[in-house]
Amino acid sequence: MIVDILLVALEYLLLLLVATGAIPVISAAYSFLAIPLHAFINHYKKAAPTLPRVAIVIPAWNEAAVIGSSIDRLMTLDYPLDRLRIFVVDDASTDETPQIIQAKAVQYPGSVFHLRRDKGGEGKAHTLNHGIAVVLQDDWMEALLVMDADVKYQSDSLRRMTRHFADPEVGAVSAYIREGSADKNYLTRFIGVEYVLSQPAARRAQNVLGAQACLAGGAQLHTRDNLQAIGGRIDTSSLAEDTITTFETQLRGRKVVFEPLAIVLAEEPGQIQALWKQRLRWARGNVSVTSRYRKIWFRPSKVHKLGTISFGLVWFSLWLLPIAMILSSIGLLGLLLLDSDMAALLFRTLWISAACTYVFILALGSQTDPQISGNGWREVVTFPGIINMVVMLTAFFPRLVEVYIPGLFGLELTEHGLFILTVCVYIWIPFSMVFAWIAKVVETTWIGRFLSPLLIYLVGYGSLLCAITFDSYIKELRHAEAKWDKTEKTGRVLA
Amino acid sequence: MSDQQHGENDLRERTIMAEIQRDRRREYRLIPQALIALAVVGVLVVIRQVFFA
Repeated sequence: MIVDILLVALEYLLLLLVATGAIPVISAAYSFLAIPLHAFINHYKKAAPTLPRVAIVIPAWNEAAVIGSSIDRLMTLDYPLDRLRIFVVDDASTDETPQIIQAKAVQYPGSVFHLRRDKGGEGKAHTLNHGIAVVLQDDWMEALLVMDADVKYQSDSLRRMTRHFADPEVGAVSAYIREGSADKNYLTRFIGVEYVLSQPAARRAQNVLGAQACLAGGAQLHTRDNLQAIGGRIDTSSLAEDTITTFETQLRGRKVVFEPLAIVLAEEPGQIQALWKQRLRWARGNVSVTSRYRKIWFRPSKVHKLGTISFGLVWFSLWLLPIAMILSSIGLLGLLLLDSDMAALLFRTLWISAACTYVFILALGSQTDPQISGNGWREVVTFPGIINMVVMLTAFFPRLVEVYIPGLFGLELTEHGLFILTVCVYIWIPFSMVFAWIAKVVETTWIGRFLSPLLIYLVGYGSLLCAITFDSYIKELRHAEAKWDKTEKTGRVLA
Repeated sequence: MSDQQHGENDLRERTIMAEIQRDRRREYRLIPQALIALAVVGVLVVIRQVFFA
């Protein structure tokens, strides 16, 4: 009797674990279904021709390879030159960066200024604050553009951002950072697709829902009022200064607008190890943001929309995605071992929902930037991972993998074989993260040249990101040092 | 400000305003794009129902 009760209780617990896997699916579906509403709920109706005096602050630490061409590019912006000043904050560079900036200051007198920090290496936020303190010293600056040294603005991008400042409620505008490496490889193409899904697609949804999660670090424009309201400086206490700036702006009742047509090209990592370092920094920053703003989550406010259930769902389902996947797999495996009828039904329901959502996300998202999606069509198709696609096919088309495909080779799965296959399918997701980690570990070995890309195509780029997020949990639990690691830039962006 | 500068500013304002209106209309493309995406999902569901139900 007691055993029966315990078994029922265990079954309910396992059902609950499986259900955690549905949360990210629901959140993603909800977000992407909001995208077409951007046709009606957008900020263009409040936009108007506005050309404030813009101070551009560029943090630069050993950026000799990119800084000269970035400044040249900014000087070709379709924006009145007398309303533009570029302040390059040289963070005690040890390469040719200072000489290049000084040469550009001579070439563009009154437009380019060289600021030098004697003590460098403290991180981007400290470097930015040096420049911000300078531009706040007089009244010239009406808007501040924060950008990275390597990014390349399309000529109309700044103009497309400033037009939103016609609405006094707007505090900041973010542009679309598009992957723009000239020498693309499989990883930069995956990053390109990821940026399409997360910016012109997902951030349009955030425009609709009224809360933006993060201003792009390489292209964020603030009004002077907003900058002063958030303290006249960028937060230096965490690795997520862009997210904190975004939250602080919205917490004070100002809007943050994403402008999908202001396009900025950026160089992204072409190696898993460099990507891992960059994303680990972002993920650990998000841990501190989640903790710092613990009092706003799921608490709706009249001032901002960061406390709405929809925004909280989006935030936490991304942050806790690896945990949800692991718990869901444990639940499915447990139900299978308990010989519960629910296992197959739940697996099918969960993965059919995931497959439909994935297909919708990729089909809609890829249309929001046909250029990147067209060049990276293989990465669009294999974005979930080839093995994950097989798992989805298993759920979506019953008997295809179990019966028809083995039948093509004259094979028939035994009951034992079917059980092993089912176990493999149920526990695949946590293991996909392990294989993504292996892709990183072997990348610099002779076999990694072939094996790492193959593994990423098989397990999926999403599994790689989940593995990095999982690593951030481990680093946080171990209280590992959270230090600023600059992503190396080599001037690969070809505008 | 000279008449020429006034004229240039007016032209710039009109150009930017036209661009805003164009970009605003462009967002209506999201609706057929979403319908296409839904249709792709629909095709998958139909295949499942017809061949694998």
